[in-house]
Amino acid sequence: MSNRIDMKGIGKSFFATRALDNVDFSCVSGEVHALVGLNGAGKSTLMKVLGGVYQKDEGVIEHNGKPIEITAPADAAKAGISMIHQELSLINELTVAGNIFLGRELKRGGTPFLDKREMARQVKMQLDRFGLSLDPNKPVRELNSGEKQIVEIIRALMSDSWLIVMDEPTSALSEEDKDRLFEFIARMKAEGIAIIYISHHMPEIFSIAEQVTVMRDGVIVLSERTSDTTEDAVIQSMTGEELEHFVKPHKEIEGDPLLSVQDLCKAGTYDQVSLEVRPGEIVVMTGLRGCGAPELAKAIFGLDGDYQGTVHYKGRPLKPGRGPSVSVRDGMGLVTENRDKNGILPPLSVRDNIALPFLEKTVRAGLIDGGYIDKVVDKAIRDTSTKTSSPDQEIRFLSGGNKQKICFSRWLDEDLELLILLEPTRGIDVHAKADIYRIIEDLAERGVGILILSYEIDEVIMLADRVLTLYQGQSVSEYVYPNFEKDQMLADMAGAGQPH
Amino acid sequence: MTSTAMASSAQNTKKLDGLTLRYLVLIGLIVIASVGFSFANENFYSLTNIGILLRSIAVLFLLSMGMTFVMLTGGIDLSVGSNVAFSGGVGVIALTTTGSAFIGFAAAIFAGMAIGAVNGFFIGRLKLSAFMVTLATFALARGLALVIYDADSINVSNQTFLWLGGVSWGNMPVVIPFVALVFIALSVVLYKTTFGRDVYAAGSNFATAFVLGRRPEKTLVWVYVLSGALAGLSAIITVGRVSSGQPWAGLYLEFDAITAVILGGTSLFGGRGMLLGTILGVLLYGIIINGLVLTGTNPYLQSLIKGMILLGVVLLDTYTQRGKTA
Amino acid sequence: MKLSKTLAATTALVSAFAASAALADDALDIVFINDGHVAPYHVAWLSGFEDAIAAYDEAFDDVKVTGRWLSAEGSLEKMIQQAEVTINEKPDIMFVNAINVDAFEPLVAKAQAEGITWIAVHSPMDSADYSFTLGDVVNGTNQGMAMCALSDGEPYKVGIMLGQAGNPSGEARREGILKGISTCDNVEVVAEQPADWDTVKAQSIAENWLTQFPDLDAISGVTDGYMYPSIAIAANSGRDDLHFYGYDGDIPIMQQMEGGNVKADILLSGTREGWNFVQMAYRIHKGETPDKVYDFFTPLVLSEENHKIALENGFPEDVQVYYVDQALEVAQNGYLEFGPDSVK
Repeated sequence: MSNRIDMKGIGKSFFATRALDNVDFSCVSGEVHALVGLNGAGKSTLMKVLGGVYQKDEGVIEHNGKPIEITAPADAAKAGISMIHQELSLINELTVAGNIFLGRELKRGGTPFLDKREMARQVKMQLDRFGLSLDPNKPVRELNSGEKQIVEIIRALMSDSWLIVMDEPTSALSEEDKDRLFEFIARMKAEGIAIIYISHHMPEIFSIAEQVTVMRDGVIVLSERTSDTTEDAVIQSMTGEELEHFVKPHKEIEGDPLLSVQDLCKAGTYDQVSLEVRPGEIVVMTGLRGCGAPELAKAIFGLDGDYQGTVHYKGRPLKPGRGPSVSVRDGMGLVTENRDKNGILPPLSVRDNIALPFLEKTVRAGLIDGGYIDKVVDKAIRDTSTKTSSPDQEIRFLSGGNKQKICFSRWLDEDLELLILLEPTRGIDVHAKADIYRIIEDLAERGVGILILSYEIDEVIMLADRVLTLYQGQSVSEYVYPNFEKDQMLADMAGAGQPH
Repeated sequence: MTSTAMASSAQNTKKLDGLTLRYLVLIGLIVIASVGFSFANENFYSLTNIGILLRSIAVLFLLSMGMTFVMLTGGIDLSVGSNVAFSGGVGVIALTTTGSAFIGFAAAIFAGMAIGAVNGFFIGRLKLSAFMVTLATFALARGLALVIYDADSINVSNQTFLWLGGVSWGNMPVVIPFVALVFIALSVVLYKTTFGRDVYAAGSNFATAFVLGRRPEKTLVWVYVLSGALAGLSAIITVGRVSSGQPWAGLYLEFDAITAVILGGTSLFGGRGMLLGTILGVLLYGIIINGLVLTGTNPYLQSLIKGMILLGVVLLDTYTQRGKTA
Repeated sequence: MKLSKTLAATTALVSAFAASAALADDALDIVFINDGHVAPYHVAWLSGFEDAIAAYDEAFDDVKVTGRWLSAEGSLEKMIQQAEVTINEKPDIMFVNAINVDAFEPLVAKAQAEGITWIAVHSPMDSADYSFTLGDVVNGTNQGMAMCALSDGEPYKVGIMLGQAGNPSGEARREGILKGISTCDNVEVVAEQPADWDTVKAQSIAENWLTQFPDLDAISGVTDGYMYPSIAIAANSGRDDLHFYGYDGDIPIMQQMEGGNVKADILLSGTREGWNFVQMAYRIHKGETPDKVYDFFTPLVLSEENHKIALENGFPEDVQVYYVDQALEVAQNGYLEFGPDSVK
């Protein structure tokens, strides 16, 4: 059966702000419709209107040509629309089948007892239908994030959904899981499922989507078949301007190593890794997820002391597991890969979020000098071009890109010597990315040594003075600017390269 | 993903949202309650009654301020009421054995801090649940109090020791200016020192605070020590008020303190709240209790009224919280 | 129940006032501050007090009798606050069941300076104008002696549930019970435990004892509140031979005495006590001076049959005993002993 949803002339305001203005958006079964735009362009608002979380102010929603009212999430579910959330909503203690049948469990003929066998059988049937291998009786806590996502999608499909909305589905997935998800999406298309795919990743969009729609400032600025448009055209309509290509400035790197890591080993995580970072140098570690680089970075920062080998910093050996407070005092900084988990302090203001690591320096006669903090914070906000209405704004109201800039701006203090960055541009839009690249270069120019972990090969090549490729915890090779060979690097990451 | 459009609209309403709105509501409720009670009993506004009212909530002011620090870190301290009995006992025994009021004061405060340090060690260093640890010390401190008092009260006649809790200048109990001084000192600590900022940071996101090189585990230890020290101070005031050390002093005070702090808008999840809110919360709570006594309201109704106020506050919280995310 | 009573009292008060507006320039205002208001004894006590206030106000046209009670809910600090507020209101008479008498010494002086008559309830105070006491030691002794007299001379194992550690009433009752038991050799106290006046704690103590001491003969307690769970637990574990010795004169407990396993009780009865307060206050108001330490009349309650057995076993004849019917009647109708007719 062919299904379609047409949203026509949708408008929505929050107080005085126009979040959606006369938006037309359609999707048809058997197709992937990519929805793109910068943070704040209105994609999430549009999807929340479709999902019944927000009420539209104007416009109609038609299901197969008939107008329907979606005033609550239950209405959306009735129309066959399911949202797959970034924050997964599964219960860890239940099995795969238990989660899928949550709230509508099958009972053994007239008794109050659960028919676990039948539930598992039905789930298995669905998994087989899409060529997925997953044990329905496995507890969800044992699954990785890719598998959890699959469980969520299967749950949606088994409650008769024909339209699946996915918001940044690949942001937390390994390469292998990504491939499996794309395969799954292809099978769903073949079964007549419609998918709305929200993403920042152009290559993904152009490989799986039939239609791409770009939003900017609450209106649709482009809606084309993917076969009729290009990545550049899409990016340009997202930003509304010709994107300035980031060009790496030329610089001389000299001096003794600031950080020198020798033969670092941790069983099952990383093995015999050595690297050096000199003042002003940008060293990028790259590989696939699971290559051991984040753990390595945490060991260097003093978060984990369970390793063999030595780490020298400013010529002195570092004590394993000495704790971040010592590292920060020594002029190290860290931007973690998971902003929401250990990057920001959600209820606090932008000012408090920025000022925390250097509070001691603002103390005059035992008390904090608020004026000094204001000066430093204002400068940090300006230098990173963070968009916030005021330093008093609570950080949780900021977009992902601006939150990330604040995670950077804490470290712009003059005493910083080594900055460790884990996936510095994860989940942020192209504009914020360009700002972040510029901040990193500025810091390097000031003489700060920078150690980055990135999984995006283009970013690696654009930023690095030196690249270290890792495969399953072992270093494969090292490349020095400008001798970067992209194909060779990719081969290294996949385990096909030649170890030096 | 919050859109900038939404972020700015949230910002526009924020000024009337959250804590400011809460403080306005509290002040409104205080005014309404006072006017209502003064109609019911003309004595409500008498200076004597105001003196009685303030004296009766002096201890609650101190404990609630300590509880504010604790709850800002996302914790809870159920042991403060029992700690008032325990540290009072230590203080009174030190006083009666040495005859020195100052040794008595010091002993009470140190005893309070000792219980706080036990809480802090288990919660901050060993990362145990604050609820479980302080539930244990809640029983432990009461048990210790009963043991050192031998379950009986001890009379105190040392006028210096009784001064803080017992003496009034006219209708003004001396303890009230003292509480005001403590409030000012704690405000400086909370808003103007690195420790104060660390309290907010530890409660906002412990993991982030740790990664940023703060020492949130250490902050937690000191927060519970502070709460214990305030329990010790409260014990001195309680002894002064009743001219004796009492093994059953401070019974259920932790619940009153938690109620007042929540009324004052401090989040149960940490990171949000201010001392001013707690002061307003204690005042409102005290006025309602005092007014219910003055108007001779049936005690069976009193529990009902207290429950309804709490429920109302929870509703208000949920409502303003929803207003912010929608 | 409470509400309707308060309302009834208020209406009575208002109508009495309207009828005798010209006459009622003489007024008696009584405040009773208690340490609790939810235990069964307290509920009976407070409602007896309320009923008595209304009855006295109606019975006498020349005096406007008003009264209210407050509950400190077990908190010493709350009780002190309530006493302070009350003194500021200047009633004529205050009954205060102090959680700890030492803590109230300064307030007694303050109240007397305001011309308020302070009556210390249960725990006597030298400084108070009067102390209303229960004769706890004597009552406890009577209960202990009843155990001796009703135990047939065989070895008789008893567990005693006590009050909160340090509570003067509880301690005095315990002292009395042990004194009474010491008059014979066969009664042995196998366990003593504080249940903090809490029926739930009493329940778990009873459960433990029945497992720990399979040959336990009796449970004695310093309040009838402990008897309800103990009786229920014994019945559930098939121990229908277990004896109970109560204290308070709660009506449902006394109703189980005739032919049942409740062997003895002390007739306090909350209702009676509430009525006695108002009677005492009225007498003081009219210029009488009761004994400075006023003993509430608290006879031992036995069934007639058990009293006979006890006397045969050497129970002293001079101990005043009420039989169940009589005890139930005065417990239910406080006005019989302490109503307006008793002072007319």
